[in-house]
Amino acid sequence: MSKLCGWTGGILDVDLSEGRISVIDTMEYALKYIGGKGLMHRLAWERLPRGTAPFGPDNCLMLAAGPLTGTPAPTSGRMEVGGISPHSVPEMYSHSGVGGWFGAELKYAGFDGVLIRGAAPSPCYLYITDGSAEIKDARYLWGLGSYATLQELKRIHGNSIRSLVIGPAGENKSRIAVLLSDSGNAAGQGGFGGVAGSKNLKAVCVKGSGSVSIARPEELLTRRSEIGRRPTVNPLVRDSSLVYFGHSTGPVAWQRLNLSCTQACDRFCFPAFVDVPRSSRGGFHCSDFACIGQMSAGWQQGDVFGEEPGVEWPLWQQNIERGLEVVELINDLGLNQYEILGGMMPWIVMSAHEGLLSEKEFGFAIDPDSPAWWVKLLNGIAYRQGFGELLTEGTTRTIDTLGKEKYGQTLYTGRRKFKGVDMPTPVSLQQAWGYAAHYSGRGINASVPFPDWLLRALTWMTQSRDSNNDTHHRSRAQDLEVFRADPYRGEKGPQLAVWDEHRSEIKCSLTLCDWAFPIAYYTSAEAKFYSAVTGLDTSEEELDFIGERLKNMQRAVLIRNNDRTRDTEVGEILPFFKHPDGTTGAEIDENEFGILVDNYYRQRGWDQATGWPTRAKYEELGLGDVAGELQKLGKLPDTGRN
Amino acid sequence: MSQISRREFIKDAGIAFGGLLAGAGAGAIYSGKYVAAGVPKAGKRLIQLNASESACTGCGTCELVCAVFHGGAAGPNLRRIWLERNEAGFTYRILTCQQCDYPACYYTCPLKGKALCIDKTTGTRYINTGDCTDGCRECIEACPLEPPRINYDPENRDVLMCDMCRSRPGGPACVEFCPSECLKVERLGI
Repeated sequence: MSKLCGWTGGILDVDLSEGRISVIDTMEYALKYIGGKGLMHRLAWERLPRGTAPFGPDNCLMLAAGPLTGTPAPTSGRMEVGGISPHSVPEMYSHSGVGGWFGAELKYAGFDGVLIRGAAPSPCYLYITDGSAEIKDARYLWGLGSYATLQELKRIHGNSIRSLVIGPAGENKSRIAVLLSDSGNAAGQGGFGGVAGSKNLKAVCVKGSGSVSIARPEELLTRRSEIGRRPTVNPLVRDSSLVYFGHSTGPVAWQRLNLSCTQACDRFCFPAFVDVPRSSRGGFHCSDFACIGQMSAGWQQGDVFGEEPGVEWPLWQQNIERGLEVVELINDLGLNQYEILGGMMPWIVMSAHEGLLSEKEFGFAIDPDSPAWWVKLLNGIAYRQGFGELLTEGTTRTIDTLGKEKYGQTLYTGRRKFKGVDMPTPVSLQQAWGYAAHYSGRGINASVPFPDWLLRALTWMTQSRDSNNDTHHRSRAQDLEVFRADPYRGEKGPQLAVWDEHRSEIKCSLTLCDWAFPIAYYTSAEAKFYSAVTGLDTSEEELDFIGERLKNMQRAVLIRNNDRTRDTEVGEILPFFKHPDGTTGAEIDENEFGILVDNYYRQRGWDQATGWPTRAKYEELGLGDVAGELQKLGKLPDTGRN
Repeated sequence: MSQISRREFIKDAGIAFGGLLAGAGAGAIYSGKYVAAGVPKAGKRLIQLNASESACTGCGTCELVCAVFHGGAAGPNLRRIWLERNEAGFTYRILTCQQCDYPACYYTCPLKGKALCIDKTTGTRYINTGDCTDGCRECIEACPLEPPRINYDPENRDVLMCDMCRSRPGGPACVEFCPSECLKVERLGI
């Protein structure tokens, strides 16, 4: 088949057990599944059958870029990582986005994706360059931290090499290990660093000298101009008046500037710290830090703890020097920042406060105010020492092992107030599917008020991980008003959730930044970029239709592999939302939420009793073969009638 | 335009002044528009602004729009500008042709004036890829800068060098598209 613009043509298929490398034609998938996340959904359906274990050789570590990756479409440098996730509870097919420069370089090397199966007999890394790949010996890299590995690979292959590496945590098959890129970005949630470790794969490196062809280059540049904002201020920020969550950052000793965390970015969301007086690195990138690292360095929230809506932390005495060191150590060990800082630390601090955890369990006194404590804790997690042996399984699994009722549900009696009123919260702020609370009205990002967090409940419910990485619920103000007027029974809520989910699939398949898109007041942007790059004139509605296909494709994998039903997902999401939220103390109404779920399923064309898409829905989306297989398994709602 | 006319005027004045001081030798070189017979000085070049004026955020948009504007595709062999990222050290250097006064590439080119050319009006050094028939790459060898600021596209056997987007009415695409405005066209005058 002739090559369309945008895609480069091949998906690298690597079997580490056999040492075999072949190439799959991207165009078998591209038109229906685009790339990135969508492509992985389909590959998961085909190659990750029910029962695939995350650390078994049958699991595939998938890396996927999209047709826009490597072009000047703004923020298009991202890519997606996926496979059976060891982090998710239960273990199931999941995914994680990653920024930086790797995705674009992969395209220049001639590949739209990489599929890594099997397990190498000894430590290795994959070196990809211009249409070929090589499995190289990495025994001498094994054991190195992430940063040292990245530097060593640059020393061997040159400064322009792009890599994704694992640290000691990944090598030791931690369920909360990441793949870190040379820009400091990580494929964080999902535990794919551990999947790489189980395959004896220390790194994937790529160097490309090819190109990504663009159907209508002038149009693409014009579109970029339309969307790209011209900066009104110099991104170099020298004073300390940066305001975050309404609070001044206070004086910070070092210059800050905003950096891009992916190729072709025009947003520069996060600040970076430079000239930090340390020996190992000159500073910290926005991507080393992301949102969670900043929060936990404690420089933006002052002493407003407990008295501001949605601001629930710090639970421990933070300061910027220690915060930066913690972030760097987490990255170097190859651990998941969000899981540790957003889920595990609050749990440890609150549990210690309630007398659930003590020196006896830990092996050393719980003292988050001491830098040495952090080093012990994080090393313990990465190297499976002492209590770290348990923590490295992730916060949810740790709590489940110790006893969910006592270690998860005990109420924290420390300071957590709103306008002077106590807000009871359980010591565990794990939300669902094994992931820590995120922008859902409770936990470290608690600022979302009722009823807005109902939409998060819906989208998180149907996912296999924390859904707020790429489904941020961007809605127009007038639509939100309609939703808020009748949050449980109105049709607007499910409509907004469905739209956001489709856009989440689309942006992570094209690929575009999972934070910057969609733009509520410029909803046709994705379709315009897609049309200009590929030459396939595609309307916003047509792209949304593909988004719906991708969402249903992913759902089919979860239904087949994990028996996903309405009961399992509603049962999973409800307990967290039954706790009072962090802004007004609102709780979810279980019966009313049932009506919201009814409406959501109905709008999606899913059976309301089982939550399964109907045969008619699969066929409408061009997924007839999927319906056929599910019917054989008795997993179509209308099986009896067919 | 007015600036060029002004320079034309100064050049003329300089030559006249040099003529008056016959025997002053090298004075003519520094005061004139020409560095040698038929080799005009460049009128402008691209520079990365000092970090106190703006900061490169490392996004690489300059490389991408350069390749796409000139070549219709994005890729490392199609760009005429390079972003050198040093993530650990926080330095982001943007490298491109510096429009040398004494362009070694030009003097080396076996087809100089046809392949490696100098714009008579603006002084911009550029490569006419259509007339660069054999892609001998001697210009790359000759470039005194490290790394050399001339790219090579092996697929089309083209050598590629920044031409200040001389065919683009809006000026250099990289300057226009840099989201942090850290690239600038520097006027080189006397």
